[in-house]
Amino acid sequence: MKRIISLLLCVVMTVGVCCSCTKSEKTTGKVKLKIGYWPNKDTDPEKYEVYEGYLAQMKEKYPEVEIEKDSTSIKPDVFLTLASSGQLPDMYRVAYTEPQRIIDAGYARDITDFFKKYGYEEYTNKTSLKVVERDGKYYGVPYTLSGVGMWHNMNLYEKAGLVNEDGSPKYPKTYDELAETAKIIKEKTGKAGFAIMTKDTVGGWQFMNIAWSFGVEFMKKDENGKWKATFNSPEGAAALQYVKDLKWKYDVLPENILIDKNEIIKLFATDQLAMSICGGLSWLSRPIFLFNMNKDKIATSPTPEGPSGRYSQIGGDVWMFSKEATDEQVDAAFKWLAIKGESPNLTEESYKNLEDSLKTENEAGNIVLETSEINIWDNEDRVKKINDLYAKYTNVLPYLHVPFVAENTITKSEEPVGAQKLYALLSTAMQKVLMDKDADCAKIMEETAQTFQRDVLDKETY
Amino acid sequence: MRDMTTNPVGNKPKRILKSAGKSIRKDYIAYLMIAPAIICYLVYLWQPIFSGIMLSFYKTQGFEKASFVGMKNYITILKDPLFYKALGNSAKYTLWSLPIESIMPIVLAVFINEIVHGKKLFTTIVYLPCMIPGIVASVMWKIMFDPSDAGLFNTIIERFGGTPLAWLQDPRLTIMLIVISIAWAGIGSKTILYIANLQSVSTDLYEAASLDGAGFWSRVRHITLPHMSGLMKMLIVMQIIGVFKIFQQPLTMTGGGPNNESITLMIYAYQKAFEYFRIDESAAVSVMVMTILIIFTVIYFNITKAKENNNQ
Repeated sequence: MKRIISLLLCVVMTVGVCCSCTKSEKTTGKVKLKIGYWPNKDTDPEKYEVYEGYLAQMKEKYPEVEIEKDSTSIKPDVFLTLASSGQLPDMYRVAYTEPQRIIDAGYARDITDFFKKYGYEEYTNKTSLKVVERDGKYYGVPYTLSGVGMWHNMNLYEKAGLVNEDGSPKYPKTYDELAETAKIIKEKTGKAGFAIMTKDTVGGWQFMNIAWSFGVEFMKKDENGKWKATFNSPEGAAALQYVKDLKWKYDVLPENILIDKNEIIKLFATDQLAMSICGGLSWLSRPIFLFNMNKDKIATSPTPEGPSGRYSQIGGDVWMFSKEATDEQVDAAFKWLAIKGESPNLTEESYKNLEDSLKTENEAGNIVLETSEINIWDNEDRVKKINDLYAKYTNVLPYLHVPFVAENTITKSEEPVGAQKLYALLSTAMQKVLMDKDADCAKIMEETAQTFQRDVLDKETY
Repeated sequence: MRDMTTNPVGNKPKRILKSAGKSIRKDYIAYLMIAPAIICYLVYLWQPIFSGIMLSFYKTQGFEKASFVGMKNYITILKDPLFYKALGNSAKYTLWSLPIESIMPIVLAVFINEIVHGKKLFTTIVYLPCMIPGIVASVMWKIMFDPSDAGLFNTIIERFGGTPLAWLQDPRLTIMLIVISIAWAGIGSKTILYIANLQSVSTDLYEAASLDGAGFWSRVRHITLPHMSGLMKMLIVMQIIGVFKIFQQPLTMTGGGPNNESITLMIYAYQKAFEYFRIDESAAVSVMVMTILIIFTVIYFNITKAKENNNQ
């Protein structure tokens, strides 16, 4: 008897181990759809309630769809692990920098048929389409689009006396003015006048805006169709020299030279930093949400103008789909997007939902600007309706907010090849000049271009 | 031609198999009982190692093998100057950690073992940092080393009229400071092991040595240290292996910067895999690290074994 019980126990344990490695799925006849980037009930209760409203509508309209909420944010460094272990939500949100990498890695879901069927191909902004398109196929749904701009801490502007009579900030229009303005703020307040991200890949990503304004061309195809790194140029050296001067000539940067987005937001929200390049409209609510910063102490403006013009890198959010998602799940996801108002056809229902969403943002004290800035839809009628909604629920002081993208701003997408590696190399180049006041910018750009050529452009995959 | 069936050497594998089969039949309940553990061990420990080795010879798409490329990933890594920077830095971490992390626990263990009063108090104080989660400890040290005037150490320096330091962002100090933070969190557990080891030394030996006129240093040199040598050897090897694979602390405190001054082989492998999605090259780096450590461990054990044989 003892032997039989032992044997049974062993079998149960062994089967248990084996079963723990397999994914169990129940067939209920319903279309189960796991949606990522769901608002967190505890940290974002207002938005969570809005989503509950969407959910109720979805249940009523499409009872065959069963939605599972997933509030995990898919960050680039965990993406591969989640994708390879089949743990990605059926629909998840990523930034504009990610879709092409996900397509390269083979984890993107082809949604071309649905994308065309629901009218996205026809009405989505062409710049955003490029982000999710490869060889005529679509792999994601872009749903926001914004450019990079500048944000200003009004507390420090006021202390430095850099405020116009109407209360608006005397923000810098050119990169030379930026250095001078930052210097005045540093002298008068003792706080950093300006900061730029320098860590990991984000440093290079922000540096692009300065570099383009200085006339830097990062790569181009030669006569044989091969990509060549071309930023080892006088313009490249000048752009890097500008960053170096901010540290060693003007002394306006924070002491910390390893800065990422979280650090920038912290410094900005706690009045330790007067201005920086703002990575997009989604940044604006972070100091309020995380540090209770007064929203009326945040001002925005376009990026400054450099010798070659005013540039702003565009970014935004994209819905991507798990490679394992079935046609029924993808179809259900498109129906969900329509209910949320993230589809080209602005129905009465989705208009109402969008209005509720803006109303909630307004009531929660998050920043709602006067317009939706760059609009993702190539549909004038829709854009006008949306902008009217924004105007109705805006809660900012109009004189504090000049749109990120000015009339003469040239918007650019990221570079066509190896952008992430390029950003990482440029971050390192920036760290070099911020560490060493005798650093030779031309030499550093030369070495960086060589490395980029060798490690990325010369590789046969490109 | 020799008849292999009658050759005792040729029959050896057969005999081993037969005996193993007999043993399994006899103790099959016991084998079944340990089967889940063995399956877990194979699936979660050995399978990733073998998969990693396999992937390093392929071009990958995500984690999937796309095409066999032989040694290409290794050649790519060996041509990358950043690999050598990471390799050099990993060696620097190891060299810095040896004096700090090897000597301090011994000193503390001997001290705690020798004192008459407050043994438990000192043991608790020494062990306390080990109870703080690694990531929390790293963030705490990062905040204390903040180069602005908000950093704890800079605040103290400024209070005494000194000039603030860049700390982790000074390439001359980065690695050493990270090693100090690791040592702070890791010394306690080693000290406890040494104390446990010391408590197994017969007090008769010390008493006899004292009667012979041996002082404190003589007792330490001729009784304590020889007694601890086995444990010391093992802990040093484990420390070298551990520090050479250091990852979490520099990633949290500096991200490998500034200017890659604190990048380690594991951060380099991590960046390859999760920032650039190059699992193939990352696997090649990991295999190289494993090879380096296996070679080092074998050499170290051979040297110490030879020394022990000479002493005997």
